[in-house]
Amino acid sequence: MNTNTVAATNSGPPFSDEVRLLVGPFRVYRELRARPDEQPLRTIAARVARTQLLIAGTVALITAGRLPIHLVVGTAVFWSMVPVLQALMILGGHAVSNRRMPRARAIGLHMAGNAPLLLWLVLCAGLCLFAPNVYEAFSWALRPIIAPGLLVALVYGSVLSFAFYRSALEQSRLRAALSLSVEIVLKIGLVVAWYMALDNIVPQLSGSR
Amino acid sequence: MSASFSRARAPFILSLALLASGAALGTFIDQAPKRPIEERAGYRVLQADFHAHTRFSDGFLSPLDIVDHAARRGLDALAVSEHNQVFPAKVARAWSKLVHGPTIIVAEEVTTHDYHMLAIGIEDRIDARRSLSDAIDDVHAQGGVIAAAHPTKRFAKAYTPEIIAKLDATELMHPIAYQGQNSGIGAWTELRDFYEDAKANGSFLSPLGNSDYHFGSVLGITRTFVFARGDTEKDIVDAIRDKRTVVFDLEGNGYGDPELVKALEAEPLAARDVDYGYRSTGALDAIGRTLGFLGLLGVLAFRNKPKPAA
Repeated sequence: MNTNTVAATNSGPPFSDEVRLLVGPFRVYRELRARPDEQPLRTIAARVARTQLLIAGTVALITAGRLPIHLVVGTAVFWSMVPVLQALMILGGHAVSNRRMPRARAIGLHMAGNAPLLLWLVLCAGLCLFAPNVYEAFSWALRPIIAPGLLVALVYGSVLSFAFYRSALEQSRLRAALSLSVEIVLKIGLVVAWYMALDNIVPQLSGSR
Repeated sequence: MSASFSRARAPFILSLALLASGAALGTFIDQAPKRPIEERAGYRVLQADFHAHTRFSDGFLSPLDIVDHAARRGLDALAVSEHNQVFPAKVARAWSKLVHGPTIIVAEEVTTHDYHMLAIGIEDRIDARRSLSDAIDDVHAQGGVIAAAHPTKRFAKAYTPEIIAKLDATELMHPIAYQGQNSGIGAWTELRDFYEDAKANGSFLSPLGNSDYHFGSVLGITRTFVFARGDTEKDIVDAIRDKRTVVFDLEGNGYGDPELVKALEAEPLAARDVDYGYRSTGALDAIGRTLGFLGLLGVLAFRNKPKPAA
């Protein structure tokens, strides 16, 4: 690709794929599918790095009110189950698809759809930093804004996943819905398995002897 | 590389630069307050929180970062009390020894359908499937102490008079004190009533002030003043067992041994520079926070490489 080609393709707004997907999930996933990616592993690494940086930065801001490097790095490492969990979910959804795409490419594309939850997290951190009285602000905003905002982020995240299966993997509506269902079941199943392994669930259901 | 290529990446590079500046300033400014050694009534007075969770269950911080956060909040001691686990607490204790952080006490919030109980100063996991009475015996056999965890009416059903007689402590202050009747688990006055009723029935329990920390800035927002002989795990557990703890409610009323309460009221501890409201410490801090936040937003919003030709 020569520099003229690059210049010609970059005259639009400089927004990330994550943000563009928020606005037009089906159209942008079709566009991303058409875009060649010769280094899918590098794409995955870049998207994982972005996600981890945003999670760790948010946790650091709501913990310390600032970004101490050791807290950001420690949080990024100890939250590394997020991309692992996501990769496993995508592999599950990908396994039931009838249109094949290399797994690494599929994981990289799906990870572009994390913006709803990440945006919600960063905005929560912003509330901590800039509200004149954090506790009053949270008390006021929790039920009408923060909790519904999380619900919207989770639901819209599923819409983006559906758009991924429908537009990026070119599945039928039914097949895309099946893939999304597999993904959600895997997500819940893996989280439940983690807490089962830590013995956090059974005693709370069955009680003591 | 053409000028257009550079322009396409400029917002992302600028965001990274903002983030890096915010992180550099944040790292420089983020200092733990001094924790002077203070003595009252012949004991060393330690500020402690005995109820905190990590990323291994429903908390946000790693066992390493929670040690740093305890220091940031001016705590001398922290019991890491994971739901039905002790290994995160052991990791935190090892890390704290390495970095000379606050005293970390291995603990467990034994969490069942029937009861929530803090086992403090243990080494082996308490099986949450055991009856409350057996679990208490197990903790005592390990040399630990037992505290009722947030015993509001909803969580106090298993605490019969016979069980209360076997307890060492109870959580008297908890962040629900800030939430009035809307805490979701009950009102703070129910914790106070549990403590007072036990006392009236002949069981004097060590009062504990714990934050039940999961995330945010609030670690140690309600804390315990421990009158200990030293600052080791054993010293602190012994102090709980011997009823040498004091807690103050939001109105400044003291709970615990009247002599120890009086000692603190006569000569209050030096204030530690701790803020739970995310207020910046100065202009540089405010700038660092703002740069960091804008950098995070920019990292999410802008693309980090030019769109290749389709």
